[in-house]
Amino acid sequence: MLKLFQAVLPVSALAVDVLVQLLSFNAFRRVSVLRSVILGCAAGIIYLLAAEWELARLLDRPARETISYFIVDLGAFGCLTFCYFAYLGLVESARRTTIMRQVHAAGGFITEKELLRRCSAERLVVPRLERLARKGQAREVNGRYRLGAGRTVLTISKLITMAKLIVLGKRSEFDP
Amino acid sequence: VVPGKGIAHVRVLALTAALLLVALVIHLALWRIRRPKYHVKALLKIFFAVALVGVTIAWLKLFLPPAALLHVFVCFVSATLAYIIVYTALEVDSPTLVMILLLEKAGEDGVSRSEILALLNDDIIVKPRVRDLVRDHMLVPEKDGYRETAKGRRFIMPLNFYYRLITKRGGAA
Repeated sequence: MLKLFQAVLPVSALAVDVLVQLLSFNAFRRVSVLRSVILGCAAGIIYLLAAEWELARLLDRPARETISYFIVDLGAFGCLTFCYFAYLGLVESARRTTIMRQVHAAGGFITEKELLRRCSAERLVVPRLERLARKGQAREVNGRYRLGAGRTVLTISKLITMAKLIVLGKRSEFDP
Repeated sequence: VVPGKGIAHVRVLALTAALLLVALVIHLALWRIRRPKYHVKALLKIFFAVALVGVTIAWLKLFLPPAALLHVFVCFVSATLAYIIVYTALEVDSPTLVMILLLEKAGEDGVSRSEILALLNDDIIVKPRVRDLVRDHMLVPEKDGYRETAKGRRFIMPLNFYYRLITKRGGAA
C-alpha cells in the first residue's frame, strides 16, 4: 500500500499545489495569480519532501534511495505543475480560449465581423506589447519600441525557434 | 539484483527515460516522413502505445513489481503531458515571441506600434486560430459567422469556470 502511495506521490503533490494556489489567491488580496502559482508549487515540493521523509521512515529505506526517489518524483511533479501553469495560461489568455469565450458569451453564434471586432489583433497584441514594456523586456522611446534590458523573453523565444526547427523543421507556422 | 527488489528507484528512472526516448524518436521520425493532420491525437497515440508496450515488457521480462510499474507510468504520463504542451506552443506562432524577435531584428531603429500591428494583423493573429477551431470541430462556419458546437461548449465551459476562480476573488470581482 505504501509503495502504491509512493507511485502516485507526484499526483497527490499536484493536488496540494492546486489547492494552495486557489486558496492563497482567493484568501489574500495581495497575492497575484503568478505569486499564488509560485506558492502552490512551493507547497507541492514541501509536501513531496515530507512524504518522502515519512515513507523512508515507514519503509526503513536508506537515505540514498530516498534521495533518488525524491529526484524522480520531483521530476514528475515538475512536469505536472508545468502542465497546471500552462492550463492557467490557457484559461487566462490563449487566443483559442478568447475566441471561444466570445462566441459562447454571444449566445453560441457570432458574425465574423463581430468576432474580429471583439478579438481584433490590436486587442490581443497591444496588452502583450505593454506587458513586455512593463516587465523590462522592451522599452518605448519616442513612440518606437526597442529591446529592453531584460533578455528572458528573447532567450525563451530563441530556444522556442530552435525547438521548432528541430521538431517541425520550420521557424514559423506560416513557413511552407 | 534480486528481481523486484533493491534498486527499483533506479529502474523506474531508467525505464521512464528509455520509454520517453523511444517515443520521441518514433515521433520525430514519423514527423520527418509525414506530419499527421491531428498532431496532438497522433502524439497521444504514439506515446501511450510506447508506454503500454514498455510497461508490459518490463512486467514480463524485468519482473518489476506493480507499484514500480505504476510509478513508471505516472512519471511517463507526466512527462508526456508536459511535452505535448510544449509541442502545442511550438505549433503556432506566439504574438509575444514574434514581437520580441521583431524588436531584436529592428535593433536601435526600433518599431512603432502601428508597424507591429501591420505585421501582426487579424490574418496572422486571429483567423488562423479560428480555422484551428473549425478544424477541431469546436466551431462551424454558418452564414456570415461561426456557431459553437457541443464539443466547443464542452471545451469552454470548464475553462470559463476556472477563469472565474482565478479572476474573481472569493466570488467578488
